[in-house]
Amino acid sequence: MKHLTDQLIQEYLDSREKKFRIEVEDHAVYCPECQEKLEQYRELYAGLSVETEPILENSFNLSALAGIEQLELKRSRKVLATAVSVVGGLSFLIASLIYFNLLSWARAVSGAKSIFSVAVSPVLETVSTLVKELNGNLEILAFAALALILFHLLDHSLVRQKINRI
Amino acid sequence: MAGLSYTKDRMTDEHKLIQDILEGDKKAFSELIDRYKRLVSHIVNKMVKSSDDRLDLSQDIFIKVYQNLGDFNRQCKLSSWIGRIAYNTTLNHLGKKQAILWDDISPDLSMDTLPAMSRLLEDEIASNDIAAKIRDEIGLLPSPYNVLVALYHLDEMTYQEIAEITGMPDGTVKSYLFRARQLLRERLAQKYKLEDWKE
Repeated sequence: MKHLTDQLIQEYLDSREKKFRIEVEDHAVYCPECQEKLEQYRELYAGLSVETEPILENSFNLSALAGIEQLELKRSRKVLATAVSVVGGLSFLIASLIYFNLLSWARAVSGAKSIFSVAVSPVLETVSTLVKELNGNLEILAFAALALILFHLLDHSLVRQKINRI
Repeated sequence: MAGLSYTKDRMTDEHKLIQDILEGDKKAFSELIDRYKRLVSHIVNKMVKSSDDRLDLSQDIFIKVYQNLGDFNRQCKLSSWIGRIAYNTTLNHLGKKQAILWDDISPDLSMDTLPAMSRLLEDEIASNDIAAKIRDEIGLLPSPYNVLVALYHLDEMTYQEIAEITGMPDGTVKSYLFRARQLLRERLAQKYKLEDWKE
């Protein structure tokens, strides 16, 4: 007599299809060996469907949401830090231009009839006009640039601290 | 037909939940966590032993879900998508600690490949509680067998859904599940008589 295979019994228990049911149940009625195997599989399947390990508790939701909020905060601080560093950098550049009197060099370049003059001149003229207007307030501009740089450094260190804490 | 309608309703409900989350509704995300934390727990618990690591990892998984929800293809099942994130994140976590690769796991799972039972487990088995016996045997199953068994029997997923999560072909999922259950039955049958099983 051909006994039921493990595969056939598992397929029967997985699908409960009629074709398996007839083959498995009809055979098991007359074969104690296969009947025992079938019962063992039934018990095993019942045991496998029982939850044996803890599922995440309700407090988990709050900690996950807190994690998301920290992530969003981190992201917004990063955007702010980038904006501050761009503004700070530009201010520093302009202050440097004034301090080192590079404008005269720029004028010399723009005055030269080089192949680049056409493209470069309008930009230099704009910078020149801007610097002329700001020239009287050199100390204020330098102070503003310094303040922005300090603010950026402070912000950067705060963000780093926060990231480390996360 | 009723089943189809149920699936359609569930998908509509899920789409609304996703939309609410994308619009910044934190309560909706908490609802999503409630729905899928069981699935995530099953995957993480089977693959990671440390309870602290499990908690951190589960949080990382849900943060990833939140960050990538905008990219979710709504034609797919949300459970499979979240399961895949959970599975891959856990694999990456394990990869950092110990390089476990699919190729390292022998498909020829046999009784000899399972570790010997600890004294503690033997004591527990003496209690004649079939649920405890089966739990102990499942606990000895290596990954990915234990994950596949949990997804199939606890989350009631199909072979195809499990294949989507694990990245394994459907046929491999089916044969791994078959081998795992066969091994479990053989080990239990070797140790206990059928009467003991039914106590």
